[in-house]
Amino acid sequence: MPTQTVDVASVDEIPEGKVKTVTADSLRIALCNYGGTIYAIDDVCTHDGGPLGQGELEGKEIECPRHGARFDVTSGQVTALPAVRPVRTYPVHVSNGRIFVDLSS
Amino acid sequence: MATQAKTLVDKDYKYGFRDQTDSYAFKARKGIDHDIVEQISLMKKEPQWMRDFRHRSLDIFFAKPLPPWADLEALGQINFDDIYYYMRASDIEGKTWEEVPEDIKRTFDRLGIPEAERKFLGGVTAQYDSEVVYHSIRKDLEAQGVLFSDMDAGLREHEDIVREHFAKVIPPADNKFSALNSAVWSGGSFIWVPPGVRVDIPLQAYFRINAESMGQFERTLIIAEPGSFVHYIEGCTAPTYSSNSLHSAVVELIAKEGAHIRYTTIQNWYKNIYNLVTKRAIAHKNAHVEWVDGNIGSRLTMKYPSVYMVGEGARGDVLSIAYASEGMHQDAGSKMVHAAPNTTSIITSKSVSKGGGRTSYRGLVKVYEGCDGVKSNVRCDALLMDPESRSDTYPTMEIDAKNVRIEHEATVSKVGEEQLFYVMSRGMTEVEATTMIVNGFFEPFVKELPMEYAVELNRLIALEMEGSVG
Amino acid sequence: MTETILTQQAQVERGLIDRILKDEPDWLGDLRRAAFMRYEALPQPDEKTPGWRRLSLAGLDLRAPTPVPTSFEYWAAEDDLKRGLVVCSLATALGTHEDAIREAIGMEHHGKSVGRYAAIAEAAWQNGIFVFAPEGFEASEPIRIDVTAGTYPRVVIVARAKSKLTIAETHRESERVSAGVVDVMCGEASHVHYAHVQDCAKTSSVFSHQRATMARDSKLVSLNFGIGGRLARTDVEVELRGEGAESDMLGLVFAEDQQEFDYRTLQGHRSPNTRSDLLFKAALDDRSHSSYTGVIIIDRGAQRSDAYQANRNLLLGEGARADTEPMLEIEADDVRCTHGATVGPVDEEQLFYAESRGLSPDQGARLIVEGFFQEVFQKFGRPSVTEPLSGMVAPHLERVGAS
Repeated sequence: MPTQTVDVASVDEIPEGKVKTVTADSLRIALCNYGGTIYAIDDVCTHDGGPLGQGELEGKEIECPRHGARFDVTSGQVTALPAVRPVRTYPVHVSNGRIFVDLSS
Repeated sequence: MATQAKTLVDKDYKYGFRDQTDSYAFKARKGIDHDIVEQISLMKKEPQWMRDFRHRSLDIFFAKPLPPWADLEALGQINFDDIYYYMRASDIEGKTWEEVPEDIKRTFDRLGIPEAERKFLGGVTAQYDSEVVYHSIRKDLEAQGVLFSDMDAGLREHEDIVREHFAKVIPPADNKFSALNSAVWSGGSFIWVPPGVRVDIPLQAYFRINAESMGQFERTLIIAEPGSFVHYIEGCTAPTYSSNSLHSAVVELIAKEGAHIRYTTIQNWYKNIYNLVTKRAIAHKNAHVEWVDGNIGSRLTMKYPSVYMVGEGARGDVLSIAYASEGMHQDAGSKMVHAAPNTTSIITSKSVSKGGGRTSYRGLVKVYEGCDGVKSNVRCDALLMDPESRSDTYPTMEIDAKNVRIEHEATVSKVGEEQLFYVMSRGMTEVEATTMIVNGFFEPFVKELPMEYAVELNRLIALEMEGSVG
Repeated sequence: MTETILTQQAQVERGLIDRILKDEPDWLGDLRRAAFMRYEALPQPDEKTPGWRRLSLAGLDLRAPTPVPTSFEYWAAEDDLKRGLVVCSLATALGTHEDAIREAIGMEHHGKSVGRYAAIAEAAWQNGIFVFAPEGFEASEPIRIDVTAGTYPRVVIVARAKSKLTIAETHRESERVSAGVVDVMCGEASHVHYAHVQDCAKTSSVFSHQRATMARDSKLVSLNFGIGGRLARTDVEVELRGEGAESDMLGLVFAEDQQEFDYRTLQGHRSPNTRSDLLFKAALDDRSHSSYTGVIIIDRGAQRSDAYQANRNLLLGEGARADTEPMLEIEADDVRCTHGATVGPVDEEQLFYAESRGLSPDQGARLIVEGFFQEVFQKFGRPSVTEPLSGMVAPHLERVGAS
């Protein structure tokens, strides 16, 4: 399957420990800076379907503000209930200070 | 009645029970703010991460609204500023026996509760004497490698285990009252069972009560490692009084692969108490969690013991009874979340309303996509004893998998005239007959209780039915 | 998928309502204006609206459409019409049966069908349908009404004391959105059989609000049959106001593709010795979805009432989903009340039995689904009405397979 990589933001826009939500190809994505590396996940909490990117990062976990569900942004896995399904992750690569997210598959 | 455990007055660290009445200059006052939270944490000498956790939780508590679907008429009467959120044993001992309501004292008489225990149940004393039986139980547990202490000690002595699991099942942001508990929790039980270990004797809350804050905001965490088994019992059937009217506990159960946890609760809070509890379990592959829940007291109880089945073959059961008389509302239920295939849930809820009492059942059975082979059975029965009483049922099912078997059935009725007539024709009075019928109605629950609880529950029901006729 | 920015602005202009009510009695104008105000005050529903979370609304434009008057055809026995049965447009009936219409439309509703779509339908309906059975009248044949076009079908059925009639109302509109309101007044000791058949275009969003008020000793058997529409939301409320009233509510849905069926019912027991029984069945193929919410309310004074409610969901497709929320609010004690719900695929044992009789798995599955429906048709009990419905299901049944 051909990659569908989209330039979504500049690295400068996301300081370490912060989250920024972007829209790419009608998908809402949350970009998370953990330890200097950018990770991309769906901006959708698998518990209630609402936005996840409004939550805060604690280490490599993002916490959904509405009911406290947590996800590991590096793998998408759930680390705290009430979410039970992992959140989708997208491969990211950074080039020339720009963040590219691979939306294929 | 329940076995009584001896609490050691001299602070014995080895057993993990100590009353944290330090020389800290804490002044008990009403209302909740960051200052109080900070003091609670400092007095308990908690690690920084728990202190931060409490502060963050308090902010969440302030920000969250009351749940709009709840009994707001009752909830709306809570004045959050007019409550003590933390009291040490010395603060509690200021109460006198005279303050304890008369009807509770009468029930103590009828039930034959021992003197020392009366003072404890009446909220007049923070500690009570108990027997040495408890010591030998502790020895057995140590030999098996089982950890059992109050939550404060658990955090102090097993910080790694606690940190790994704390708030992963019920995060502070889950609801307004879990946020409150997360900010001001004190006491509760911490249990860790090593892999493959079966704890044959039920562990009881009485074993480790040290009465801080009179059980107002208890936090319990039970972790059963793979293949282990433990049964925990809390509460008691005797009426319990507390001058602090807001109780909000959080109970988190973690049943790892093949583990089995049974959690039994009986609460009979006096009718001034708002008992708002968040209880949830996570069950991994082939694990089994059972909630046995009896609600016979309080002004308003909101409690929905839940099981999130995240591993294949997991199983969740809830067996609950509720009894509501005048001025009471038992708002109970359960949430069963099937997030893995071939998981099973069974909910059995029985409630009785009398004299204007109100019982509600609120439940959710949710099956996620891809979870084939799920079986769920919900059965709610409600008995209305008279025209003043009320019963509501609000069960919801959200089913996103096809090869499943989901069933729900609920019935509301009153004690049948034919039934009553038949029983009375055997020579019983109407009170005796009614008692027998209600006991029979609750029987599936009562037979799951340890003997002494079952006996006392039956006596209590008899007392209540006496009040209902004539 | 491009994001359409939908405006909150009313699609229906106030001026249009004023024009519609110009030649109507004042009381009706007042009702229309009040309904329009309710419509304006309520927000346009979407996935975030409570109760709408689980509906798949992709690609749907749910704004209230510009009013198009209702067009319909009807069949009734010549003799019945001669003996006093009335079937005509509401507009016409305002001239001859104004009081009856006023009584029916003017009822206050405590149920849930007071949402935005009911409001605009009550404000902007044109033409409408009126059925009237005088006291003691017994119809010799069912009355058939076919609604072919129109955005806000407004139906009023008045059955006077001791009358007996059967009405089958079929909807085949293909409007983008249609919202209808049906009011049934069951007079003392009347017997009414009412079938509401929804076979609209599979691109339509159809909102239907059906309310029945039952007087003492009346009997109402209603059937809601849904097979069309992309999104069909139906609210059915029965108020058992008079002692001895009996209501049987039947619902049947056959869904496929991405169809969404959202049924909400209310069984309201307001008087002693009333009985209601509800059976709602949904067969769901492909990735369709059914959501059922049913409330039984038994008022404090409604002693010796019995209420039953059952929701059965048959999942035929891998992506099919069913939600069910049966609710009880009981304030009287001398009652008997039961509700139940089940969700599951074609029963394995039944399939095995069919195969042991020489049927292929697919044939077995089809037979079982047919049986699933037949129970509902039999309970309605008017073969001339239900046979065509079986016919409507048949081609869809061909697609049902055992896996």
